[in-house]
Amino acid sequence: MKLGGKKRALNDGIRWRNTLRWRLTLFVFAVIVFAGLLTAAVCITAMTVFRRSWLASALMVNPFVMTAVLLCVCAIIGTLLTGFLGKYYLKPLKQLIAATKEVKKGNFKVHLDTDGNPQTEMEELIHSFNEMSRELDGIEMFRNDFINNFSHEFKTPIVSICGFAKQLEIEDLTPEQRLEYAKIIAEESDRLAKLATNVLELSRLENQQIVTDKQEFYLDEQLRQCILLQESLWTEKEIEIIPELDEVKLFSNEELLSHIWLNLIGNAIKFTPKGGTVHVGLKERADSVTVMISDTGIGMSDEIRSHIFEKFYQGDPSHHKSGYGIGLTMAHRAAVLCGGSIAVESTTGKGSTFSVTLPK
Amino acid sequence: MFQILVVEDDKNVRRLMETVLNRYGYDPILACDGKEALEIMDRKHVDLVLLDVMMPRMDGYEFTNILRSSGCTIPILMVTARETQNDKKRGFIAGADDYMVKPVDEEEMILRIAALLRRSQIAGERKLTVGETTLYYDSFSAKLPSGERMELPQKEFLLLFKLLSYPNKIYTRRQLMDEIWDMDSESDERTVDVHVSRVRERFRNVPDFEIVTVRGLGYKAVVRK
Repeated sequence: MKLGGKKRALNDGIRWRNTLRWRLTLFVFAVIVFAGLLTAAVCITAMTVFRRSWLASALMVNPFVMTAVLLCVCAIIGTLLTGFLGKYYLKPLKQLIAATKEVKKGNFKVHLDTDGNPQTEMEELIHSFNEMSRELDGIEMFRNDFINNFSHEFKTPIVSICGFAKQLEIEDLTPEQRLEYAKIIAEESDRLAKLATNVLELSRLENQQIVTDKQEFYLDEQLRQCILLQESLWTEKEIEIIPELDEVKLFSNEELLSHIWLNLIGNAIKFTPKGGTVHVGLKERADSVTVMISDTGIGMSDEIRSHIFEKFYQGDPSHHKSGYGIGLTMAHRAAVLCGGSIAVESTTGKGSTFSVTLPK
Repeated sequence: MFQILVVEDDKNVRRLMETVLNRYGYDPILACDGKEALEIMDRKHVDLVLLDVMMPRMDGYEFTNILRSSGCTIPILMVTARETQNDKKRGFIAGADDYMVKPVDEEEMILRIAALLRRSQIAGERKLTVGETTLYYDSFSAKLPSGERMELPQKEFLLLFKLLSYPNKIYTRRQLMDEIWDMDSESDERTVDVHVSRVRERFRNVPDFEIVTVRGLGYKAVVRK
């Protein structure tokens, strides 16, 4: 899909005079014309100056000789010219091959020099290569960052669990201390378990490129079920859930979408204080459906809002215990995989509204 | 005292389950895989099976299949680390009654065990008692606190029976439609509303329970003490 689009741009971006095809045609034409002229010059010279040579007589008598001479001259000139020019044309290609070999070894910092906008196909190729190399470098850096972050997120709870477990082996502890340490171990273990589940899911989502396994289902019913799954959370906080759902049949991957709803509804409940409201709306439009999840919670500043979909980003460090910053990343990824998008509006202190738009 | 068979290959998890079940007044029997579990069930009476899925020799799915195909209707609660929708579906299709993902919250597990045992008892006895009201599945009738016996139309009875089998659980209209009415039938969700009001009308004077409307979501039965 993307490849096709780029192909058209290739021919549009480079002026036709610069394309390889035109230049090659021009080259062959030039060789033949030049060869022809040279042959004609030799014949004329032969016939006027060396009138009595065997060449002149042969030429005058036999047109086949003329053709043979022409062909030979063409061949010699063409070969010589190609030999010289070839080196000129092949130099960037050789550079490219060397650079690709570097990439193969794992060096993503290779960069070939080009000046300004690509004028020829070869320059386009080099330009694309540079971009590709940059992307790979970016991904590598990202992967390293991710592994570091993840390692840290995993190790931190283990420090507490191990540490306090060892403390519990000590004999002279007060019952209060024992209780406190046991509680911490339980809490951190819980966190660890949730982290494992989340990261597994996130990596599954990130490695998925296309969505298979689609079925037809009622989106309004799915939203209701997702709300009900979290019932204990919203009843505990005495939060009122107000669903306003059009009856909508959708053809998509149910499981992927459920991640989005569970995450957004969970967040709405999490960040809304006791007694608040969470509104879940579903509207059908001409060729899309929109799900809006709004809450009367703490909201977020513009600064936080611009980063929320990033991996491991947590707006408020004090909420650290309740999440890892990958829920929204997953929700976003899932939405994109299903051909849709997520947008967010928020006001600090008033609440937030997440809108998910999906194609029908 | 209910006998719960714990089928789990990890020694520490088995120990944990045993401790928790004992604490809540159940009688745990331990097995380390499906094969051993089947051998035990040949000799002892079991009320419920707490089943891990990933085990050597015989996994949870195979065990469930064998049990169900031999006609055994003992409730099975799958407790496993496998958490995708597909794993869950596979578990339910094999014949499990409920499914929990590890690590489990002990309280939630105990609640689910209690609910499964209760449902099994209801299914076994074909009757359900709430306070001083009893519903009889075989005759679609109810005995009220006043002693009066009332017969109900099939759909109304099934609706009430379902709601009271899991008190406080919210059922959406679609869920009730799918389970009680035929999926192909002409009725729509309004039909559920109509039936609920009829049931409410019938049991207007019965204080033991109440059917509550949860706005936008569905209905639930609430037991009043």
